[in-house]
Order: sequence, then C-alpha cells, then structure tokens
Amino acid sequence: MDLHELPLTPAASPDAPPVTFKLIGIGGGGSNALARLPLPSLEGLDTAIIDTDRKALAQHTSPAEKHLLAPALRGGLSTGGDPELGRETAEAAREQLAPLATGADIIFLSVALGGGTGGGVAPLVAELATENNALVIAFATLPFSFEGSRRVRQAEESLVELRRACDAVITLPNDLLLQQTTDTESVTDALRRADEWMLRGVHSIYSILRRPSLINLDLASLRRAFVSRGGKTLYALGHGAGENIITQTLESLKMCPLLHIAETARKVDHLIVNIIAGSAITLPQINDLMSVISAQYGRDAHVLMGTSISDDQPDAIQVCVIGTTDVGTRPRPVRAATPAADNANVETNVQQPAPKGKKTVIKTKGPANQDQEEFTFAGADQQRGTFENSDLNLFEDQDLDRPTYLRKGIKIQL
Amino acid sequence: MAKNFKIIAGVEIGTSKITVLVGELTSRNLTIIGKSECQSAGVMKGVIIDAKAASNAVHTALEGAEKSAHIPIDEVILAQTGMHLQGFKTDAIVNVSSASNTVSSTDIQTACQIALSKQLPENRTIVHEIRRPFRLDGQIIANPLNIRGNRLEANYWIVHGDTNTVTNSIYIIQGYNLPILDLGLASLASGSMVTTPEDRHHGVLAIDIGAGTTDYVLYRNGAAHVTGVVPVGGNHVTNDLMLGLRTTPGQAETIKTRHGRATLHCRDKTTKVWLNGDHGIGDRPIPLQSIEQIISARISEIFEIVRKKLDIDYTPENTPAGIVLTGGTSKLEGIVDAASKAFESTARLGEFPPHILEQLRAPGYATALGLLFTGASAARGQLPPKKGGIWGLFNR
Repeated sequence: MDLHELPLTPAASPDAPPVTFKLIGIGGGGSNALARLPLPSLEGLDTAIIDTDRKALAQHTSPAEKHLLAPALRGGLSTGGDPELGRETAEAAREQLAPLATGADIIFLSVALGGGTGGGVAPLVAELATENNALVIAFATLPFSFEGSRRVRQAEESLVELRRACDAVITLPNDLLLQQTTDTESVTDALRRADEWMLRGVHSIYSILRRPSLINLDLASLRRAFVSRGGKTLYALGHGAGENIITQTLESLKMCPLLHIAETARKVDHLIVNIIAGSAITLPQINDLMSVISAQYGRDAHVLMGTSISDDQPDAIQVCVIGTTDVGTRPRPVRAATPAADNANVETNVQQPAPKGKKTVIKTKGPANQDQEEFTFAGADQQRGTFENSDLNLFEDQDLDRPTYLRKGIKIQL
Repeated sequence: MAKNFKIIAGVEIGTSKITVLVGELTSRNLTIIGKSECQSAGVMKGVIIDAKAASNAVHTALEGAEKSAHIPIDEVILAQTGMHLQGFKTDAIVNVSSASNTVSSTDIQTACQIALSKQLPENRTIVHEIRRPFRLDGQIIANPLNIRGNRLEANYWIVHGDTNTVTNSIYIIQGYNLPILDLGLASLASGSMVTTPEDRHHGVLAIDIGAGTTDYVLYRNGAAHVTGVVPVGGNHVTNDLMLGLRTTPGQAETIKTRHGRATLHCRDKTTKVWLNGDHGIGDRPIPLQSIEQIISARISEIFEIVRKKLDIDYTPENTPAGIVLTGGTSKLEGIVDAASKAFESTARLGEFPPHILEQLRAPGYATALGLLFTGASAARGQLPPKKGGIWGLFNR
C-alpha cells in the first residue's frame, strides 16, 4: 500500500466501529435546551428527551425520541420542582430508563438543575449509562440567582450527585449568561446562547472522534482524560477571525464567560483541545495556539488535541477547551469489569429502607463516600475566586463571596 | 518594684494587616509610645484560618511594636471580628426595693445580674457586654442611683463568638507570652474613635470597612446600641474585579486603588484604562465603567446588608448624626456618596479626635487606637472583673 493511501481516520479502519453518541435532554429545562438546538444531522448521534410532564413533552417539535417518564406514577404531570419527587420517579422508572442509557459510546446529558425531574433523574441515567460502559458527559445549567435560594440550593445538591455519577459535568451557570447578553437581546436569544455553549461542546467532542481530522483522537484517549470523576471540569470556548487570528482567538478564550474562576483554579491535569479552523490555518499558528493554551490551562497537563478543517469559514478559528482534574489519586472504580459487584450495589440501592432521598444516594455509592468532603462547595465553586476554599458566606441565602454583579445580573463589558 | 504605669498594646489581627499600637497608661492619661504594622497571613474574612502563619505574622508585629516603643508590653487588648460574632439584646426589670422608692446600688446590681444571666449555647463565648443606658419607669437615666422611681430596667447588647475561633486568636498572643487584658469588639473600638460624644448622643452609625470584614456600631443615647459584622470587605472588591475583568489578584488590587470608585461616575462606555499601565505584554484596556460597575455593586451591597441587619434599629430619623465611615476600604473614591445613598442620610469619613497624633490619623489605625482608649479604663481597674465568658476559660 502506498503511503498516500493510508487511512486518515480511525472511522475508516475496518476493525474499529465508529463511535456512537447519544444526547439526552432530561426534565423541562434540559429537554427545552435540546429541542431548541439547531442540531445539524450528525451521523451516529441519537437524541432523546425524557420528561415527566406530558404536556411539555408534546410541545417539542424536535425529531428526538420522546419518553414520558413513569406515567403510572406521575400521571403525566411534572414533579413541580421537587427533587425528592424527581428521585422517587427516577427510582420507579429505572426499568424504563435502562434501555435509554444504552447503545452509545458517549452519552451527553442536557439537564437544567434546580427543579425536580432534571436533578432527580439525570444522576440515575448517568449511573445506568456508566454501567453500560458509556462515557457520560453532562451539561448542567444552574439557575439564575434571582430564581430564589431554594432552587439554587436544590441545584447544588443535584450537582453533587450528578458529579458523582458522570465522567464529567460541565456547568453552565445562568448567571454568567447574563454577562453575555446585550441590552436589546430577547430572552429566547439569550437562552439560545446557553444552548449554543452546549452545542459547541457536543460538537467538539463529536468532531474530535467522528470527523476526518488532521490530528486525531480516539475514544480510548478521551476516556483516559475522564478517568477520575467527581472533579471540576474546565470548559471554555473561543473564536477568532481575520487578521491577528491567533491573538484574537486566545483573547476570546480568555474572556469566555464560562471561565469565571480564579486563575489558579484554571490549571488542570488533562486538556482536551478541539480546533476547528479554515483551510488557511498554518502549522505555526496551531503551534502558537496550543502552546499558549497548554501553558495557561495545563499544569504539566496531558494534552489531547484534535484539529479539523472546516471550509464553512475559511479564515476563522473555533477553539473548545475541556479540562479535567484528577481528584486525589484514586482512579474511578473499574467499570463493567465487575458487573456483579455493580449489580449488587444496585440491588441494595433498591432494597434499602431509604430514609430520605438524598442520603440514600450518597450511602449506596460506597466508594464515592471518601470524596464527600471535597464537594461541599459544589456549584458555586467556579465563581468564588480567592474565597474558593473558605466557608460559605451566607446572607439571606446568597453566598456573599460570589461577586455581587454576578448575583445581581449586572452585565460587565470587557 | 511597683511601677506607676502600665504598657498596654492594642492588637488587631486583620485580614490584610496586623496593627499593634503600644500605649503607656498612667492613672491619668494614655500616651501612644509605639506602633507596628505588618502584612497579615493566615487570616480570611477576619478569622484565623492558618494559626501558624497568623502566629508568625502577629509575633513579628509584636516584636516590632516593642522595638518601636523601646519597652516590653505588659498586657494586650485584642480586637475581635468575623462572621462568627453574634449579638442579642437582653433586659431585666426589677421593682425598686426600698420603701422610699429611691434606687439603691443593690437594685442596679440585681437588674444587671438578671439581664446577664442568660445562658449561651454550647461553644459560644461572650466577647463583649455593652450596657445600654438604664431606664427608670421608661425614662432614660444615665445613673439611676438614689433617684426615685418604681421600675428599673437594665438593657444589654451581648456579643458572643465561637469559642474555638476566639481562643485561637488568644492563643496567638499567649504564644508570645503576653497576657490578655481584655477583648474588644473591632466595631466598637473604631467606632469610638471616629465619632464624637455628641454624635453618639444624637445617634450615629459608624461603619469600619476593612479588607475582610465590615464592622459596624450604631450609637444611640450616648451608648452603643447594636453592633455587627458583615464578613465582606475590600478583598471582596478585589476578588470581584479579578473575576469580572479576568485579571490576577495583584492586577485587580492595583486597579482598585488606582481607578476604583464606589459610585457610577463614568457614563461613557468607551473610556478605558490600562490594566498594568506599562503598555507591555499582557497589558490591555479595560472599560472604566466596568470597574465602577463591579465596585459600586459590591459596596452598595455591603451597605444594604448592614441596613438590613440593623432592621428597625436604624432609620434616618433616629440617626441624625448620620453615617461615619472608616477602615482601609473607606479610602475608596466615592464611598461617602454610596453610603449616603444607601442609608438615605448624611455620610462622612471618620475623623480622629484632636488629641491623636498626626501620624496615627489613618483609617487603618482606628481599631487599634480605639482598643487602647476604650480599654484604658478597664486597665486602670475601674471596672469590676467580668464573670464567666472567656475569663472563666483562662483564669482557671
């Protein structure tokens, strides 16, 4: 075989079947986001919507499969923002959820935390998917501060559970969304922007694995990056075009509202960088981009990079950076290798008398217990800066350590 | 050899700085004879989180203070702040016992004792007991002794703190082999320096915005009425700037001191200031308006919280002497206007009484000065020793 005929993508090689994806929208907010997504028809990406609310489900016109959760128990009604009900419903609908969480190598969850269904069901779906040996990456929207302290608290509780169950959780705090909007932008447009953040994440990982690209990544190396779960996930997007394209891209990456964290917290152990660039990009340019990104975000990091050429915009660059941190040194329990143990765990989960919902989940999670302390500040963690490791500073249920302008929705122009 | 003076030191273990002032106390007056200031460490939001680092810093400051005063310190008055402090009011009413209906000293003592007999929850220690003026048949009487009346009312504002947090700070001073003469509330100490007796008589609110905490005290009828701590200060302003403008903590601090303003002044979105000002690599223009938006949001929130915490105790009407600001963060441009707006009253920066030396007239010294001056009377042994509380812990 001539060198020039070597297959360029793993997808083309006969022994490796193409990676399959599934995007599941859970609960009201999660499925809304999914339904709003202008999903380009990506081959190998299935979509599904799970909700308890028959009416809400019926409204969606998206081509995704729709699943009404536990109609017998909930009667097609929503959980009314009660996470307790959400969890109960999830447990009751375990049988129904199990097949949904199969059939894909990578499962993306789209969920809005703070309500009932999303927060209750998503951790279970993630757990089931993990049992099926899928890589689970969740995009979790956190409520606006103005939605009230109750929702914020519920969201943080759910986030802790979700972090335990998923390989990576990318949080999209709605408060940050306000920072992105302009005065004249409508609500729908603003929300669409949040969806776009999610879309670009999905798209980046998809294109890393499925698109023919210059520098390739495979599923195994991606899994390696998500080897330790429960930690925070760094997520940032940037783009640039025209002259000074590299500087522009880096600047826009730095200013990404999702990077609302202290400089020190930006350093991660594993970096996944996806670059989608026009055909005009040069190797020195990629080199410049990558060396700055790894210096800025990596702490002696393991860098995974995927680059693909897209001729939609010949002189533009889009960068998506996903970073994960090893929590402690304990790798996650090997999955699928010990299905028996896993099942046993599940069984006890069901049989336990279950005093109160939240505790059940924590207790049955055996090994995860050790990490419990580390997640005390889940949720707000990305916006506390130098106060990251200090006690919550609560006044009227707001954490005063988080910037005032964020909590009050004052837009800061940069 | 009994000396006829005592060397006392007012120590404030602050979030950004440790301040020690040394005073020579005679039976007549108090003279400041030494001072020392050093960078704080291991303190966050007014509370010691790293005892070792804090201890080293405090000991350096104490050493410097003794050097500057050329005499060893005898005793220390230590400021207390932090969100663990809480206050409550307590009162007791006694019927005047004597047949002639004149108040006896026993009546006063009984009323005070009953008012102070309230049990604290576990792990809480009394930091300060502030006696509000006595009331005799509902009338405010500063000294009711031998005055005719039926019902004597004693009122207290009691501030208590987490025992561990309080003892941590005490251990640090004791680690330098110095006894603690008294604990002082940071709010009360600085408030007593920047307000005049007339202000306090009419009603005034003194707010000390430091790096880690905001301490406030509301005076009424010549005495402290309510005190409180909001664990938010100048460091939060810096943190907000750092996050909002994506800078390093150092750059944010520079921006705060160089361009910071507590009110929205710049209406023009295009006015920009340089991040570092050196036009070097990494320097970039930042909209001045954004800086002001971030700071003003934080500062007005601090004032709003203070006002909310004071609740019905504060109204512009019952605080005619207005708001007095002090503390490091009060150096922020426009902060007086922000306070005036939030409290719907007049506001001004705190000024020191004329007897304070020129070089000590900085907002950062208010607390340490106040500790010495308010503590002086206790040091002269004019007040009876307190019962229970922290003293029960350490005098055993």
